[in-house]
Amino acid sequence: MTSHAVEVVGLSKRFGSMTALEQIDFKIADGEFVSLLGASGCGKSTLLRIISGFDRPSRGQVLIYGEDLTNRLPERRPTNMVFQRGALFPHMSVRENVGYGLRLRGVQRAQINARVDEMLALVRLEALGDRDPAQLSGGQAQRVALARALAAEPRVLLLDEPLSALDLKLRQQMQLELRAIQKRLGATFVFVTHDQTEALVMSDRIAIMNAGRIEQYGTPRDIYRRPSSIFVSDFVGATNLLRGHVSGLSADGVTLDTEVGTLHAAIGPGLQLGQRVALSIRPEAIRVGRGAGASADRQIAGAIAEIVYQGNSIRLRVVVAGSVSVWVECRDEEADGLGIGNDVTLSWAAGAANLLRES
Amino acid sequence: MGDEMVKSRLLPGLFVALVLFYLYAPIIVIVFFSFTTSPRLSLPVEGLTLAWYARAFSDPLIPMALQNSAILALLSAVGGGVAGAAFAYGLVTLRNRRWRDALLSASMLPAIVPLLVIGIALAVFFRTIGLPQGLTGAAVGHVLVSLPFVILTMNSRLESFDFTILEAARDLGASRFQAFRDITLPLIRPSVVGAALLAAALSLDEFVITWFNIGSQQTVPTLVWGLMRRGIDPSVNAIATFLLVLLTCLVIGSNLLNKRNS
Repeated sequence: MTSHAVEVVGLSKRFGSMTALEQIDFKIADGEFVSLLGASGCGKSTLLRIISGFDRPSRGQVLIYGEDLTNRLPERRPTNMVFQRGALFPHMSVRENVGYGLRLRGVQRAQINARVDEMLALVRLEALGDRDPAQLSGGQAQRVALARALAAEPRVLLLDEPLSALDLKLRQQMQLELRAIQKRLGATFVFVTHDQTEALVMSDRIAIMNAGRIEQYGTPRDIYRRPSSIFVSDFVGATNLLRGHVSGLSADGVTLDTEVGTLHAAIGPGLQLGQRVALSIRPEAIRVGRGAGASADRQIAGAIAEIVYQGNSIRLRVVVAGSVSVWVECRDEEADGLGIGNDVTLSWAAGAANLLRES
Repeated sequence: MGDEMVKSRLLPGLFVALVLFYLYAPIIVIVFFSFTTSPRLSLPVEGLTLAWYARAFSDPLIPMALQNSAILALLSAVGGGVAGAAFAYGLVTLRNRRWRDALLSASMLPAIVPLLVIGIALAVFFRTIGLPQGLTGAAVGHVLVSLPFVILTMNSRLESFDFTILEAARDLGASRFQAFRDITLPLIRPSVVGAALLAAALSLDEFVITWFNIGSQQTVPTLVWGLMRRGIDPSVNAIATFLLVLLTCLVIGSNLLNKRNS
């Protein structure tokens, strides 16, 4: 069996009576870019701090390349961290910051210099080596923090929301840059973020965290297209949740009694008659037809209540069955001629809807 | 319109000038008369001289008092500076905010308790444990009264200290000691030195506690007090001016160091 870069086994963490992490089990393969995604307070930062050694778990183990490091001090772990706001040493130059880890290891000065040059070139800051951290912009400071963490050649790089303080344009640019650097080095990155777009753009796999647990762990496409729970479908991207219960089960599908009428969906595992469910349909997966059509297996009728112009797309709020709002996202020209109060028919493909159990 | 503007600024300006005069007039008088030839504080001025300085420093008691004051100031700076800085550092690393506030308040108490009470209490205490009166007891007292001020200045500096950079250092492989040596110490050193200078300044003009505990020895303040009882001699003005310059330098140095660090 090949060992994983990071393996977390039965991990729990309590702060007093508060449970921050509950029975976490997951593995990260060598060379993978994994994001821990969740709202603040979901435990993602705590999990990262336990992997880095700054916090100790109440129960469970952390293995890095097969070695149990649960009780090892942070300075003796093969991990390095990029902190939220850089945490650069203010009294050292950029070069001294980047070389600090190597200096601690007693590496020769010439070798340190070569490695620092290499790292500064990697983050494209060759010209700023002699500056003080106070003279750097937010984006530059985070690049230095990245160079500093990578200089010591960690086996796993941990990143704690390193882009959250940057403005949108810079953040998007840094996302691609980080991803490119990770691919080039073939290193294992564990990235904590609360920004779902960021996680979708950068990751090989995403762990969605909620209330101290991992709700779903999979590729960005899996997470987006096949959310395993109502929480995930709602947290990642926008979605419409049509709530109801199972009223019929047959070989070719499930009949649902929902707040917008009777609908049909593909059969899912472990469904029972009467079970409360929600049908999740992404706004962009819904087609808009003009005029009020009849309700069908995968079709509902409603009236437009709101039109939101977003430049590259348009969002329509359609009221179905008198009170349920369904959001539809379409291209500008698809909505040509539609106005508030118009009757429309909404339909979707069989594969576009996800049947999720209510907890 | 212009006149009204001038008038509306004139009154507050006048008030500020009055307050400044109130604060500094006595000091200016002392400094001024330390340079005049007349043995009495009287106008008009007949001539200027440095004779009072020469006379002050030729008095054998004065160099001795200066030496004692210097020793006490040094002990206060080192003892108060190190102990106060360490205490303040411990305070800001406390997780529990309530404990932190309580300990800070407790450490401020010596600044509120009347010096007379502290002076007598120390004298009684030293007598109980059998320590004879002298410089040692006075030094303990000086460190004690300087501590609240050192802790307060250090605390306000350290509140803005970013502790994640210590985690960053640990993460890069530094032991606790290495992180302290490479990161914490260089960053807080100017504040510690600034606080130590403040402790020295406080020690230099400490009178009450010194008086109760120093026994037959003299510091500059107790000596000047003694001289004053024999009547005002312009050489007292000279000593006071000398002390004033020394203290001003220490306080300015302390402020500069603290400012540069923030």
